[in-house]
Amino acid sequence: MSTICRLAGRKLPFIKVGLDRPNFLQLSRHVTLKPVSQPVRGADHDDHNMSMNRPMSPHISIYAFDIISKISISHRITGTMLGGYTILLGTGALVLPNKVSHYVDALQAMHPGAASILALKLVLAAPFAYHFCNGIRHLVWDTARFLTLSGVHKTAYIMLASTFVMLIALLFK
Amino acid sequence: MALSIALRHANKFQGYSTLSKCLLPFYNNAASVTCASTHTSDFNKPLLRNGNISILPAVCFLTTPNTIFSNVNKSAVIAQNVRKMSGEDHRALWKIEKGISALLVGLLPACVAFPNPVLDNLTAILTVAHLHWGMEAIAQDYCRPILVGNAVSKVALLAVYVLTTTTLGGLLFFNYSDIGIGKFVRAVWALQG
Ligand code: HEM
Repeated sequence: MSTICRLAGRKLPFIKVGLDRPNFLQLSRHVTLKPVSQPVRGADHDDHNMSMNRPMSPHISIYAFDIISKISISHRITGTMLGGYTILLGTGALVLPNKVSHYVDALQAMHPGAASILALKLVLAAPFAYHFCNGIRHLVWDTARFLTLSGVHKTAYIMLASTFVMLIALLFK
Repeated sequence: MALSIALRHANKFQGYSTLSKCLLPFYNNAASVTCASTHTSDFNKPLLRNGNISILPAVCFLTTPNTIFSNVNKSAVIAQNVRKMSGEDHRALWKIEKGISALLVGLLPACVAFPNPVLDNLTAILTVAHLHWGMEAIAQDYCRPILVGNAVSKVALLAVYVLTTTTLGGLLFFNYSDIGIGKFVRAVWALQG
């Protein structure tokens, strides 16, 4: 038994990776098995977390806010912007004293200038182009394709390039 | 010696036992399955394609040795751990949500390219349906009862339904009484500086 322990603790001469040569014990994974009581399972995610005493889990701040995270939250932000425009048009049609198209004519009558029109088109078209292209990316994922780290990155660059092309096309059309 | 071998391989046995738990549902239900684990199954939803597992969530298995080696009824374990978000089965609705998103890809450009009442109304209905589920997801994410309390959470969801209703009504009214969504987009895009 002591021989086994001694041999197991020796540095392994035939493994050259890394600065420190591992010994046999370090090569095997140490797993501690300990009994834990089964958490009370609630009806949903919230109940479950509540019973585990985890008010927010997984906590978002433990993750790096990298490019992929920014692209991801941008889908929600652009979706919310488009939703805002949609709600504005719908409620506007209901509550404004005149027809909505009347205000489009009134805006034209003001001759707002090329820069203002371009800015208007930008705030409308940019979220749309982004959400449109990234929405397609989401739908591709939903067919279980490109769900790897490299797939997520590759599709992100394709999406950003398509968004740019689409935005330019929409702005100067 | 036998003991040390058994101990060293214990994690493998554990791996096999949990792996088989994960794989078993694939035979039972190839459409949508959930990985069974004792603690974290709420977050698990393996995705499959052509019957292969694309993603298996990384989970930490900490179970009593008893559970690992005892001959538990595996389907009972799975049945207990199938993910039921908010206690409902969301699979059918999920397909409708994604189907409508896919329809929007063709419908929105078509509506602006060929404005007519049918496309205008279809755009109004499908866009608002998509918007409804989007807002609902956002409300459920940020206004969870555990974070903001039951009352605020309910009010947020109610607000989503109010916005959905007024927006759909408003857009249909706009299509009926004004120039319609397709022509409206064209009118905005025709604005001169
Ligand atoms: C071709 C057009 C569109 C496509 C393909 C599309 C696709 C999608 C998809 C796949 C999602 C779900 C994202 C996820 O799984 O987390 C989503 C979310 C959303 N979409 Fe769209 N969308 C489109 C147009 C729109 C429009 C016009 C609006 C506004 C009325 C909109 C508003 C939203 C909102 C508010 C969300 C929720 C954001 C979130 O949950 O993170 N989308 N969209």
